[in-house]
Amino acid sequence: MTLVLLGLVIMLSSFIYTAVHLGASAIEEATLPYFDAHVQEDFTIETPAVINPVETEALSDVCSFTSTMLTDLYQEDKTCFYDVLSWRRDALVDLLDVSLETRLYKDAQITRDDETHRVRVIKDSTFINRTKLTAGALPQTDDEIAILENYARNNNLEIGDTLTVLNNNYTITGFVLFPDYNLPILDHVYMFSTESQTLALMTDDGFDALARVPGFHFSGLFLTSRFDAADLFEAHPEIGGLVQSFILTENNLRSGAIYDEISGSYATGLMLSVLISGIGIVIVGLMVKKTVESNKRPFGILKALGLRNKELMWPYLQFLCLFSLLFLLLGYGLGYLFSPSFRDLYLLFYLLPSEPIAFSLSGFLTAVFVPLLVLMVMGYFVIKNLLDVDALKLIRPPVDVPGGKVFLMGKSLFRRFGFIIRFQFTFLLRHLAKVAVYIVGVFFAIYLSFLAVGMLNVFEETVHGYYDTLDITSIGYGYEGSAEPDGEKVIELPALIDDTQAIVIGLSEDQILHPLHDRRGDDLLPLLREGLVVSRSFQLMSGVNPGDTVQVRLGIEQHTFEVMAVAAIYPGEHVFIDRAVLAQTIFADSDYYNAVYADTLLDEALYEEVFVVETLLDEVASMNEIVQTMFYLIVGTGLVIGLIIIYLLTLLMVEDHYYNIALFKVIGYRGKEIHKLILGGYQKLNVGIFLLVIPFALLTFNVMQWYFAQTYQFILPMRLQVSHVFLIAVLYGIIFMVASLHAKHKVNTVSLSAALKIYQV
Amino acid sequence: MIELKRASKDYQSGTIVTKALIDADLSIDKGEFVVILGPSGSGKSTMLNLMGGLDHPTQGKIVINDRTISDYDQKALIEFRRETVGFVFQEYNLLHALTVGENISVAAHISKHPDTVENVLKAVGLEEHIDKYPYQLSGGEQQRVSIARALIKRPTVLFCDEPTGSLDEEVAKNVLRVLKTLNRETKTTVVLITHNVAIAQIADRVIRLNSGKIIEDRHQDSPEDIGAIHF
Repeated sequence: MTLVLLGLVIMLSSFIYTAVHLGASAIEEATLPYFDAHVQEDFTIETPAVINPVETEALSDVCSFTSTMLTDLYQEDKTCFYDVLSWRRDALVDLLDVSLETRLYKDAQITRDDETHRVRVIKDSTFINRTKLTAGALPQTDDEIAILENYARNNNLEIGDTLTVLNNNYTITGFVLFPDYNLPILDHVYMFSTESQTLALMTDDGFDALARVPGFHFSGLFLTSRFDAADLFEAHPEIGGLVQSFILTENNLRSGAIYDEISGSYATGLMLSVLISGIGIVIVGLMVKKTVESNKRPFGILKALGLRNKELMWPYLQFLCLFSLLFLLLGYGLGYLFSPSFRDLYLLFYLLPSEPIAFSLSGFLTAVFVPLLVLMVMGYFVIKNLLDVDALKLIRPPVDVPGGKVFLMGKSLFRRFGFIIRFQFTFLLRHLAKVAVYIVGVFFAIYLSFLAVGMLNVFEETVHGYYDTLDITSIGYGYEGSAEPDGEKVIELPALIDDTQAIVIGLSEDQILHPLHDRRGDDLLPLLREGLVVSRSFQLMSGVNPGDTVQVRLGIEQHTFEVMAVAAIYPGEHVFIDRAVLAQTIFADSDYYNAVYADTLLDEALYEEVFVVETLLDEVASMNEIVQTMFYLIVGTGLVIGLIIIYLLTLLMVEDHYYNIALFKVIGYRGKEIHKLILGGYQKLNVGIFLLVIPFALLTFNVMQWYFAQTYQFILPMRLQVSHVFLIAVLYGIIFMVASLHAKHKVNTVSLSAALKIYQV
Repeated sequence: MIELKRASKDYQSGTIVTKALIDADLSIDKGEFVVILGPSGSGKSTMLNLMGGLDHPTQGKIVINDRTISDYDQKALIEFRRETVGFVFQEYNLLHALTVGENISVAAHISKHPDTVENVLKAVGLEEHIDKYPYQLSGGEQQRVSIARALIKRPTVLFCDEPTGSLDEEVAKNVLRVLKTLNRETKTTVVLITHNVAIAQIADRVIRLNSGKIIEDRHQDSPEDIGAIHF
């Protein structure tokens, strides 16, 4: 049993490394050449949705501006809309040492049986982010379309099938991929599911004919030196009116993260593998030591008879080699088997090309032979160290005398405590090295479990977090009716808060469908009259705090507001402001609104676009299921590893006390009393470690959340729920008890007087 | 006080059965100083383990203070050992992480009416060594600590398994003096097993074992003085 569990730990180290290494390699080898060949953008620039006075003046000869918003301008004068885009691109190219290309796209609905799916149709580019055709042919006529292969596979679509977009039928001519991965981020909630969403390519005419207002940004390449957003705003403070956001591809979660993810996966896989195998190696070391120690007398006799150390250790090393090799190979085999699943998990998030899983010699050596070598070397030195003494010392080992400074100092610390506590800690101090290994092992095991359960909420909160706090059923954009809209008027605008991109949402104090509460549940809507309320996600990304003054930049307009509070809203980079103030400030019309929140299904005929919240959530449900399964797998693996480590360490620790347990029984101690004396110290130690892990986990979760927010503008809402803490505590308690009982059972099978003759502390 | 009624003990290893004790009949009175004498493998340790409640007989009965402990389960045996007996082993079996005082407290902790650490240390002549660790004491001193640990529970019987086996003659005599004095002053029954014929001379009664059988059981009206014996 003990050996099998130990084998499992060794196997898992090889399994994790192999699965991650092979899975990530299959993507990396296809992806990096793809990015080069199809000229992935170095950065993306988003410009304001509001037309600024400089543009109005510059283009006054060709355009008669009657709208403040670009979307409105497109409805009124398409040529002028494109003129503004060209003007902005040229203005940016004049200022910066870069190449820019306008990236245009339109969001629309696909009708499939009873379901409505979403499509983002891309206008083909000329030199940046060139389309990759993965199968079939590119569209040649206005009624042809190319889509993502993942979407086609998930919906049983093939080349030649028909797709209905905005009630028009298109023939699928092929499958495509686009290297600019910011495209799949639809709306202000991070989500992308190829079950119900796809990117698509049409001919230029087909794109223009699609009855939707295009979205756009500029894709760019650095010509000489690279710079980031901070450099840009420092070098060109006046550019704020033109640049809403400047995002380096490497800092975009969907694109840039892939570099870090792939290299990070190697590192994470290796790190996890090293951590797990490290613990495994330590446990193997302790077990080898224990086995050899318990055979010291026969070893001494054999040595006295003339056998050499090598001859004595050879059977042990042979067994260790075969045992470790077996489980490492098993781990490698399982890792190889599961690596396609790991690769496919990546491809759920990243629209990337991939290659079949291929055997890698270096990966094989790292997964199997490196840990094997370490195990053998460690085993060799442990045994050598134990056997490298005179035969007589093996036959009659001298008493291991306690007397280290740490031991004596530690004992003096507990001098004033009662007998039991003094005794418990004396024995912990007596085996300080082993206890240190135990502390590290248990700490790691508990943390691994916390990490695993902490991740459980991530996807749930990322997807549902925002909408779960609201009472909105549908959201309408571009109201075209004449009567008052049937819902609550709001303004949604992209803006720049200091240097951080955000979505500014204008709410009214009497808003019902979009409540705004802080962590304590206090209503924050009344505070909007005095300043801004920011979401917790935005706070993490920008670092602003209540009381700070921030610059809100909407186009060329720039206004100063005070941050009043932080709303308990994940995810979304949301900044809330009083709608009337926003409307008056930007549009000189205190009743301006561009979106309607409703608790009913809004009439699609009255709006340019209506989003049904339930549909949005349904879109991610299937993806949620897959990811959740993967998370449960990770959680399960983490818990199993943790539990095995705890079990093995507890077992070893109790077996170490064979002699003490036997002695106490002879003296007349009851089972419970022995338990209290021998295991009580470890129980207290376990509780201490457990209590230490909680703040450590909370701290690291916050650091991870902060790191992701700063680096990828992505909130990773890792949480530690009381129920999870309780669950893990109960699980570890049970494992501790089971391991103790198992060890005590072993002790009971040994004759008490014999135990006293065999074992010595 | 201690009665063995046709007590036998067999050990089985694979298909081989070893008869360690055969039909032992014996009765020891309160306050006696008994030496069980026999060569290695004669069954003396087995007899001591049965009397001390560390093991069950295969056949027969063990009665201590009118209680048939051979019918006891492990739990009841623990209670019996806790209240009634003390053990002293050849290898001292002290806990090296604990001081002399702490080693003795280990036994005091579970006793209903324990003696004081100071008293028992005085009884074995080690009151100056209360804060020392076992490794700081000689073999004889360590054995006396182990006797003090057994005595602090005020046992009615003290079982000693080759208590002088690891000691030289003079030190061994000191240990025997301690045991003899305790027996005389506190009327504690002492059952001591040894293979050393000389030690048998100091006992009130000598029981000889050979091949698992009692071959001699004699009372000595005038035991030898410890100083007069030679190992």
